[in-house]
Amino acid sequence: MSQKVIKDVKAYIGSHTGINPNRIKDEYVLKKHPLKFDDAKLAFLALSLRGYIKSHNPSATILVKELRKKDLDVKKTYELVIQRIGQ
Amino acid sequence: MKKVVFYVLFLVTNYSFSQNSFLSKLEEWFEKHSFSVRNTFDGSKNEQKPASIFFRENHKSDNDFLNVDLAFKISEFELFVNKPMALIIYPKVEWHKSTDTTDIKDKLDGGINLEWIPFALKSPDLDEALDNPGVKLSPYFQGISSFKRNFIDNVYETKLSGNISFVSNYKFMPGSDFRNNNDDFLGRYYPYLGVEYNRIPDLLVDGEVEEFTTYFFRVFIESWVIPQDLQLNLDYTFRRNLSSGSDIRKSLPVFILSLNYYPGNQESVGLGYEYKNGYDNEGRYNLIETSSLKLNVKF
Repeated sequence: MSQKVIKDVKAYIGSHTGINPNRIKDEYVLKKHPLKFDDAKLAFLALSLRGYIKSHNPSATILVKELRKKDLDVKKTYELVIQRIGQ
Repeated sequence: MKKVVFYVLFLVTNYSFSQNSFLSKLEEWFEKHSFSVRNTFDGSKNEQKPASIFFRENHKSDNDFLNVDLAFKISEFELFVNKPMALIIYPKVEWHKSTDTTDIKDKLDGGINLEWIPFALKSPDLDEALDNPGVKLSPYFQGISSFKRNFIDNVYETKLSGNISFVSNYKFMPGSDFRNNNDDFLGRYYPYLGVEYNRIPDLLVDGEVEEFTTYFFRVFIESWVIPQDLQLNLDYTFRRNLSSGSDIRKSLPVFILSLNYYPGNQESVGLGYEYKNGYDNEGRYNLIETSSLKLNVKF
């Protein structure tokens, strides 16, 4: 199931950046090249992931500031989502 | 001037080649304590603009001077954390100083800013099995309050501002990413529409308070001429004074072009050039035309 969550999180990141999810690497930092999210786009990514988390665990959530951390990469992002879903 | 350039290059080089440098450790401390450092938190989302300390040449006079633009965001608080929306509030402190005699300023500014994102954002090309709620083009609201201590005139100033911008994930729309075939980020743009209220003692005449409201339209374009290394920003604001009783002129456009170089695949410290032409709303709303060489810092 975790593999599905990883795939889904990369799908959301890809849809917000216009990058094919299959080309999104775990070590990509959200705020850095090539993803280059700014704080505004990270807020919207947080809302997408919030909806996804709540569809699995209605009592869990994710905060915008958790995604705005400077060195948060794709791996830490999906690990955070997995943790919130409770898997 | 040569000493300034040498010191800037030394700092940039030191940061680029030493992961254990002072700047790296400072960066870690900022991250741990949820601090952010930028040029300003004026609600413009170009809070991709780094804080800067620079030496500036004034094209309208023989006067060369030093300039500081530094802003700290001190953590942030989020409401509606279980809803498909976000309301974020954060305190900030800013310092803007210039020794240019045609636009002299030394202001310390504190206030509360807020961001309101009322809707989630739809995405194109998302797997159909995944939820994709929201709108294709979402508004993004920002509110800014500033209570400033003006050390030059020894007065207190007030500024309240609200603006709306727009964000989308759909191609060519505001906030969407422009990329090449290698997935390199090439840029994005944002429009803004907003209103500002200002109460500024001694702005034009000593002993008189200028109180006026303006509306503004702004376009900010961020682009990467060389991905990861060379950033070019274009920033145009048209501001209109709505107050009939004010002596501030009615039209107050300002254009800013900035070129920033970040060596070593990092974007926290870099060397920049900025050209500004127009009516400076951070100063006395007088016409300026300046070029600046600067050290950029962003955490």
